[in-house]
Amino acid sequence: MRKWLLVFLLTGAAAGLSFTRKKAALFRVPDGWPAPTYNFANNRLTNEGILLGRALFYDPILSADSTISCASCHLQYTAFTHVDHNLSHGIYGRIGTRNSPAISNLAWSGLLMWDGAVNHLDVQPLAPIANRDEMDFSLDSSLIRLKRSALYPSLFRNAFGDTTITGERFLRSLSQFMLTIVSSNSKYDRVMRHERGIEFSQQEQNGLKLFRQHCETCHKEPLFTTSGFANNGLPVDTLLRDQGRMRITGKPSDPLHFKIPSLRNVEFSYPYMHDGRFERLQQVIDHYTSGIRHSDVLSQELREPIVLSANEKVDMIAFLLTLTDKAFLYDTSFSYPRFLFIRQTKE
Amino acid sequence: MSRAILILIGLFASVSSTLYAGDKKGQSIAIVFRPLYNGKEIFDTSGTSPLVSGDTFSIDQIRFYCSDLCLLNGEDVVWHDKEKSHLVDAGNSGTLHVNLPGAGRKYFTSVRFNLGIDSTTNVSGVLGGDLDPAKGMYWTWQSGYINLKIEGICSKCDGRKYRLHLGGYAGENATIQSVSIPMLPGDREFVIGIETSEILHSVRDGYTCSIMIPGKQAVELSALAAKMFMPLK
Ligand code: HEC
Ligand code: HEC
Repeated sequence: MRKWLLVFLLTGAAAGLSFTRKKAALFRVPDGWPAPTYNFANNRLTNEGILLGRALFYDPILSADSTISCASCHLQYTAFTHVDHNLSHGIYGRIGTRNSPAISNLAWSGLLMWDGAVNHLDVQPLAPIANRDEMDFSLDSSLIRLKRSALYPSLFRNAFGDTTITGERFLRSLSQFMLTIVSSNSKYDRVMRHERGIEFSQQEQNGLKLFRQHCETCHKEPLFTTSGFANNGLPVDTLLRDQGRMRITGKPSDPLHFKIPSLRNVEFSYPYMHDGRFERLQQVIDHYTSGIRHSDVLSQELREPIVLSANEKVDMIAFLLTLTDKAFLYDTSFSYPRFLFIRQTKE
Repeated sequence: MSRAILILIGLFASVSSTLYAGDKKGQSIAIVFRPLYNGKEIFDTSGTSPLVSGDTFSIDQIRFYCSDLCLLNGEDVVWHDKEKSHLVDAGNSGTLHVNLPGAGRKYFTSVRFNLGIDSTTNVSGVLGGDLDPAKGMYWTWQSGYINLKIEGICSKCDGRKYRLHLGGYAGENATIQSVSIPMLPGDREFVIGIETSEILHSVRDGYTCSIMIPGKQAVELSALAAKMFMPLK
C-alpha cells in the first residue's frame, strides 16, 4: 500500500512540476507582485491560443468594413493606447466618447473600462466590436467571417484541437493574448529589484517620495492602481457629461468616479484622463495641485490640498518617467504578427 | 489489491449499465415548455409566430435561460441537472424540450429551476454551450447575461416594436428568479405553460415598450416573469 502511495505522490509531483514549468514560460508573476486576479485555471494559456488571440487583436476583420482592429486604438508603441486624439476614433471616422486606456497587466485588473461596465477580461472585446462608434459589428458576424477565412480555422484547430469557431474560443484566445501583455521592466521595476548598476537619480528618488506621499493611495505600487474608482476632481466636460461609474451602479455616491488608471508607461499614454483632456504630464500635476474641483463627491484622499514647488513638480515627473518600459513597448511577441498575415495572402 | 480494484470496476460497470438500460427502457423524462398568450399557443411547430390579434400585436421572440434545474422530494434535492443552463427559445421548438437524464428513477414532488443566470456565473468570464455570448443573450456595452428576452410588435409602441431584455445580477438589480412547480412522477413529459399575457399587459397599453438595461423596471418585470410558469395537463 505504502509503495502505491509513493508512486502516486511521485507521479503527481512530476506532473505538477512539468505543469508549472510550462506555465512559467507563458506567464510569470514578476517578483514581489501580488497574485493575479485572473483565474488562469479556467483559461490555460498555450502558445497557440496566444497566437490566435494576437492575430485577432491585429485583424480588422472584426470591424464592419474591415478597417479597424483592436490595435487601431491600442497601439503597442504608445503603451497600447492611441495618442493622436483625445477621444477614440473608430469606424467611418466616428468619434467615440472616451479616451482609450493604455493596456497592460490585465491579469491583475479588476473591473474594466473607465466606468467598470465590464466585469471580466474575457467578455471585454464584446464591447468594442458592437460599439457603433468603434467597430460597429457583432460577435455573430465576426464568427461567420472567421469561419470563412483562409487563416482562422487552422489557427483555432491549433489552439483548441479542432476547427470549431465559437464565441467562447474566440474570447478565450483574445484574453490569452492580452494577458501576456505585461509591463514589468521599467527603470522603477529594476531599481525595486535591486538590479546591479541601476539607481534612481536624486530627482527621481525625491519624485518617488512625493509620489508615495500624495498619489500612492490611488495609484498603488507596483501596478500603480488599486483597480478601484475615484473622483480626482476633474470639472465635468459640459459637452460629454460623462457620469462615469454612476452610469453602471446608479448610486448617487458614484457620480464622476472613474477607474483609477495605471501609470505604467504614462510617458507614452497621453492624452490623459477618461476624455483625454490633458496633453502633458505637467498639466496633470498642475491639476492635482491647483485644478481640483471640490465637491461632496471628491475622493477623500484629495480633499487636503497638494502643495508642490516648481522643483518638486519636476521631480515628480522625473519619477513618472521611470515607469517607461522600453522592453515592453518594443517586445516583438506583442507586435503585429506579420508572418501570419503574409502567409495568408500567399495562399 | 488489484483484485479488489477489478471487483470494484466490475461492480461499477454493471451498476451503470443497468442504470443506462433503465433510462433506455423509457424511464427518461423531459420538461416541455409551452409559450402561451391568454391560454393560446403562440408559436406553431415551424417556430414562426402568428399575430395574436390582427396586425396590432405580436410576439416574435421569447428566449430565456432555464438554469440549475433540479427535482425535489419535499425539501430535498433528489436530482440535479449536470447542464448549468438551457437556453430556451420559443422560436426553436427543439429547445422547448428539456431532457432530464437519469431522473426517471427518482421519486419527486416538484421541479425547481432558476429563470436566468446567477451572479457568480455572471462574473466568471466567458462560458461555452448555451452560455456562449454568441447566443445573443449577453449584453455588450456592459457585462451580464440577459435572462429573458421578449420582443414583438405592438402598434401602441414607438416604431411599433417592443423589446423587453430583462437581466442584471448585481445587488438590488439582481433579476434571477427561482421557479418551483409541483410535479409528480408518472408521466414521461411534464408540460409547463409560459403564460405571457400578464407580463405583456403594460406593453399592450403602450406603457413599457423597451427595457434594455438592469434596474428597477427589470427587477419588477422579472418578478412577474417568474409567475408565467405553470403546470399544464
Ligand atoms: C475605436 C477605438 C477602439 C477600438 C477599435 C478598440 N478599443 Fe479597446 N478601448 C477603447 C476605449 C475608448 C476604451 C475605454 C472605453 C470605456 O471606458 O467606455 C477601451 C477599453 C479597452 C479595455 C479596457 C482597459 C481597462 O483597463 O479598463 C480593453 C482590455 C480593450 N479596450 C481591449 C480592446 C480589444 C480586445 C479590442 C478589439 C476587439 C478593442 N479594445 C478595440 C477604444 C477602442
Ligand atoms: C483619489 C485617488 C487619486 C489620487 C490620490 C491621485 N489620482 Fe491620479 N487619477 C485618479 C483617477 C480616478 C484618474 C482618472 C480620472 C479620469 O479620467 O476621470 C487619475 C488619472 C491620473 C493620470 C492620467 C493617466 C492616464 O493614462 O490617463 C495621471 C498621470 C495621474 N492620475 C497622476 C497622478 C499623480 C501624479 C497623483 C499624485 C499627485 C495622483 N494621480 C493622485 C485618481 C487619483
